[in-house]
Amino acid sequence: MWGFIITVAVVAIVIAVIGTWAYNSMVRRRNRTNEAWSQIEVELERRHDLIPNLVETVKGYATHERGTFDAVTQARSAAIAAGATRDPNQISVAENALGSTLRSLFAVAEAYPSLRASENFLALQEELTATEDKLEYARRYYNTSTRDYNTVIQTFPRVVLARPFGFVALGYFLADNEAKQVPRVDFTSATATPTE
Amino acid sequence: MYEQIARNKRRSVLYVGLFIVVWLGAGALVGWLAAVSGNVDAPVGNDVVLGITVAAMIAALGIVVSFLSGQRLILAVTGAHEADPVQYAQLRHLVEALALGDGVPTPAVYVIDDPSPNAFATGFSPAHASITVTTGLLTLMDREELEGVIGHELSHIKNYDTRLLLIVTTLVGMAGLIASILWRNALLIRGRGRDGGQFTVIVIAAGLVFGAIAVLFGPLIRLALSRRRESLADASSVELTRNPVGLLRALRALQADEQPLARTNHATAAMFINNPLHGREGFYSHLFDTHPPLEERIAVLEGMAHGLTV
Repeated sequence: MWGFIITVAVVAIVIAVIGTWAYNSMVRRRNRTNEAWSQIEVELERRHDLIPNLVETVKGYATHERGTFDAVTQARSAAIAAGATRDPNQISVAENALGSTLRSLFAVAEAYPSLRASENFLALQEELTATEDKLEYARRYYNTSTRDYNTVIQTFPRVVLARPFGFVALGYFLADNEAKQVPRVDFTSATATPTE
Repeated sequence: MYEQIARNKRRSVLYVGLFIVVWLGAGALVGWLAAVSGNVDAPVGNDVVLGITVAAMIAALGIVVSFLSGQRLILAVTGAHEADPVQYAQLRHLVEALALGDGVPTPAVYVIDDPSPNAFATGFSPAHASITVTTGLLTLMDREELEGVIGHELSHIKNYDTRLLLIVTTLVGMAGLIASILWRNALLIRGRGRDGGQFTVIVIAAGLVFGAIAVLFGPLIRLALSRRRESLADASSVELTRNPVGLLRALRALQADEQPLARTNHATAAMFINNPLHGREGFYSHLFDTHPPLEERIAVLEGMAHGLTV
């Protein structure tokens, strides 16, 4: 009889210990993913703040590019609206669209040498390039954290606890396919061009 | 690539273990010497244990010292100053971006005014770390190359190489200090008392043991460690930037450059991305090269770049 009670007690303790450990590790991963997501939001907000300045600066030199300016402004509004939904899928679609209008804005700027020489424009360009860079790295970190978190809550033994304690799989921040298709120009190395 | 990182980690654990064994072994040896040449009645084991304990305490002291002032000391010795946020905007932005990608706190950014292109990272932990580049590196490299170099330095921080090097460098320095103190004292107290001669022999022998650590074994371990770690940081940098080409081009540019760095020495040389002593060293120095040849590292990166495109 005592043997049976002790066995049950030991099994219960083991289960409790494993459960606590599993629960804590899920919370830890979810917090890391949330933190990664808030980093993305910081960079997106910075991007949205920089764009009106950039458009105004380019407008001063390139007066005949109204279509490009409107496209950027509209894409920015759409991206801000998508940001309010807090849904990674919608946000990534809207932000990728904004990214491609920005690229066409910079392509327009290429045609105006006096604009490209302007210090204000150069500073804005560096700020925006940096923001895009940070966004890209924050996105990768978020996706890696999300993948780890999703894998953990979908595999045994944690899957048993995930549902009742409200751990749900999170969406990825998708990369811009258009950006991937832009060929990398490299004059120094023959191995870098994706020819095969 | 992941396989390579795992292998590198295993090897450096081995080297660190070896360093600890030799360090404590030196303490044990001194204790044993004291026992066999001193009082015959006392058991030898006690003195050996005492020697090991003292060696462990000295090592602990060294770790505390490197934690408290190692980074500041190294930045001062190399003549680094904090990077101005406006003047070095691009550099700071790249460091911030890559730190985001790694999920580590943004390290402090320092600059050395020197035309020789080079970079290093230091710091006891990722939360208290710094990345330093020379002005020569900034003029030589474009954004993509700089990204590869910063990724390399950030990997040193993330993999705790900077802590490892700080501790090993401090301990090797302390071994040298102990050796010189012992030798000086051995001459001062010579011939005093009945066992004076024996005592002098022990002190000189202990000085020799620590001297050997300082000038021979310490540098050997440091070079074995940092050679491994350089390759590991290259691989981690590519893992982070997902672009072997940037670092590849950066290393090619460093290979083409032969200007030695002005303010450098053997203790700090191990930290830099490119050996800062090149152009002014002889055969003896090459024995203690802290970096694998650039050609080797370039070949590995070329393999990675090729693997991505096929």
